[in-house]
Amino acid sequence: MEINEQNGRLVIELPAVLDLPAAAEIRDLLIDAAARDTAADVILNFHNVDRISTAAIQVTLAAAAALRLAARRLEAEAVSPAVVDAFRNLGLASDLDQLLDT
Amino acid sequence: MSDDQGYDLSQFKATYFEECAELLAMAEETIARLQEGSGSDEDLNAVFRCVHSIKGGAGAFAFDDLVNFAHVLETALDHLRSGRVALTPHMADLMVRGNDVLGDFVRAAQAGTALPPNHGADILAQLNTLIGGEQTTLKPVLATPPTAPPASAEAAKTFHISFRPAPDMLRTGNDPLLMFRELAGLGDLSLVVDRSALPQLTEMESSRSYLSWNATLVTSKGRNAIDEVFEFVAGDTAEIIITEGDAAAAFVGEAEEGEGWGLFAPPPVETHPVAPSAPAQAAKPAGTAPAAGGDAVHTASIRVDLDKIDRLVNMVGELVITQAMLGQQASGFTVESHPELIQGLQELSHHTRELQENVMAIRAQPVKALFSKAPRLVRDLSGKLSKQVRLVMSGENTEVDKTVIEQLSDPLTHLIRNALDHGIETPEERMAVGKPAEGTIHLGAEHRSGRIFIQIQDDGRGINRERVLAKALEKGLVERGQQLTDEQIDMLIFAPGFSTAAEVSDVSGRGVGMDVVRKNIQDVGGRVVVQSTPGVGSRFILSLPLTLAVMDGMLVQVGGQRYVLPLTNIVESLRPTAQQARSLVDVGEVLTIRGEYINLMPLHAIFGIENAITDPTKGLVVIVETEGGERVGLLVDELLGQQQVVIKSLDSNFRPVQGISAATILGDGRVALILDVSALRQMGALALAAQ
Repeated sequence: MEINEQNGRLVIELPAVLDLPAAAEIRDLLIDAAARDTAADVILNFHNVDRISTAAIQVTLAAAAALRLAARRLEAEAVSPAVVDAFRNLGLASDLDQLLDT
Repeated sequence: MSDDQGYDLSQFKATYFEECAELLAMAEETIARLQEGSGSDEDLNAVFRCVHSIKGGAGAFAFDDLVNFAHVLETALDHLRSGRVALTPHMADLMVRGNDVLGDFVRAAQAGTALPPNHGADILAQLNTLIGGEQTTLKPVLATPPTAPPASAEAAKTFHISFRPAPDMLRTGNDPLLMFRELAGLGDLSLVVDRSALPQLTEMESSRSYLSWNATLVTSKGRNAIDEVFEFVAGDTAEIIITEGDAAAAFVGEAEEGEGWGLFAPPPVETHPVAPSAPAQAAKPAGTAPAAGGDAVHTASIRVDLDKIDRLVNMVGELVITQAMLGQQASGFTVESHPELIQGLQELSHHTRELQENVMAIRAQPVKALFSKAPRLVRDLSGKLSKQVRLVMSGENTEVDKTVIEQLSDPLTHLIRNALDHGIETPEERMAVGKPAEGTIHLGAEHRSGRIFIQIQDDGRGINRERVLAKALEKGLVERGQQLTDEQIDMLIFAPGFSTAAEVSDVSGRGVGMDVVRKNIQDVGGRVVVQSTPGVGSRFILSLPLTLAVMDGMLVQVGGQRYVLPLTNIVESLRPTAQQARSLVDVGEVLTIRGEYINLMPLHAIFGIENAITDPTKGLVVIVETEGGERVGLLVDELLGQQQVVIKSLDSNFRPVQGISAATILGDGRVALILDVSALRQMGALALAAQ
């Protein structure tokens, strides 16, 4: 995983499985993205994601809050049904909606 | 990169497989009770929980084959406990074999190997038939959206669930996502998430749990179905409170962020029996009795790596040696000259022994683990041999060293097989001699005189001594005309290659078993004796040490050398008179004691020690008894005293030495060899034969 700058946005392409180790990696990338001296929004691209864990979802919640404090946004795009189900099953559908609400 | 870099699933897998072994054993033991008809509904629930737990862990590690088989078995068990299927003998047998196959899948998952594609297919097919072909794999179950309860189902109830994972829960492979997905499958679920514990991103440990939930579930499934969802995490892994009540008592409006707790109305019915917690008790109405299992949160045991215990045992061993050394250094002092030193040394000795006993107790396990296989063995074999046999067990909670238990598994199995095959008669034979058609095998354990005694007793035909003797003559194990006592004839069955079975059966083997039985028992410092009465039955008594790490020994001096004799082998010691010590042709030197001839073995001659006392009337003779019950007299210079010694293996530290079982370090730092009495006797017999 890495951060790519695309059209003034910082995009992270997520892998198929967002398990515990992947959650740690995403956290580090998001800390990096949030710390950059830029106003660019951060985009999580879920196109490849087949499975997501609670750990990874927690990281996205914390990252969204961190970026919000810096007047920036964390956005989700190309969200797969598996990811929608996961957020919904955890009672976090509204949180996903906020990430999707551009 | 992060604090999660050290995260390693292998340790959780190892724990999972350890738990699987325990759960499989527990399931087998419980199914056996159900088969005997002595089980209860709770036993069925217990087996269900075992299989369910194995399945849950397997799911976390993606052992799909294991999950699928466990799921079908679990469904069948669910049918049994709900009464949809009757617990017939066939059904119980199916459960036993199902548990076996489940064990195969667990072991395959542990070894990382794949079982043949059709492994357990016959069991699976029978289980599927039994449950009406429903839910043959887990995947459809997980994929199935919540279904409406059937028309005949119970009325829907509302449950309020407060779920607060422990910080480390995610690291144990338990993901709330899976639980809520399963919970949603039970009915209509609504969730309120408490995000208040979520830290700033930079302070976050991605594998820690920060979220907690309050859920309301409207379901026609029972409370048990909810308990099962949280079964893997109940206790230390998560705080769970489940209450039953109407929807109005659910949440106080739509909770704001951070209002995750204390939102429930006082629980009208009960708190979760498996996860009592402070909030649960605080929420209880005054005067209510504590929840059952209220101490479940405080675990009564912890899992400790065996290597750590062995290191502790070794350290205590070193301490025992150091204590002996101090005792030796101070042997010149008296209470009068150095009262405080002597008193201190006495206290040190007392505490050291107590410490050693307590540390050894850590390695001790109840023989129950060993005995649990017996009911099934007896049941299977009695069916195969068309015999009626009742197994009676006693003393299952007697504890013995783990290594001893491991080493005893095969001998015990063989002795039980022998009792069934050779001992117990067929019902017709028994009735013909006036015995009840059903034979009895008693398997017992008891702790006596610092040793463990395990006995296997049957009320069968007893040992046929004429046949044993004839076979021994045929095999050249005894000389024609040689006079043997009944006990000596009975012990012949332990001779290598001895077998009196008219036909080699697949039940009691090929006549190598009893020899191996004795060897395995001797390897752990044990002895086996047999007592048999023709027509009445046989009794095999296994005498075993409590621990393999230390032993009480007698220090003896031979020339300039010191040896340790295990105290359990020693019968008596004496200085013989000239009349008592004789030399006989073909027998060598013997002692006459109370009319009995005992072979005399001078240790100095066996080990080639110079400057030792060679005249028995000037030295001392220690009469020792071997595992086979034979007595020999060992000629030594003098007895130096009794002491506890720490056993150090010669095999692993040096190499095996004939006549020596191990070594120890004495208080003065010198190494003393521990004598192997049985081997010494054999060496003496061989030396005599060579002469």
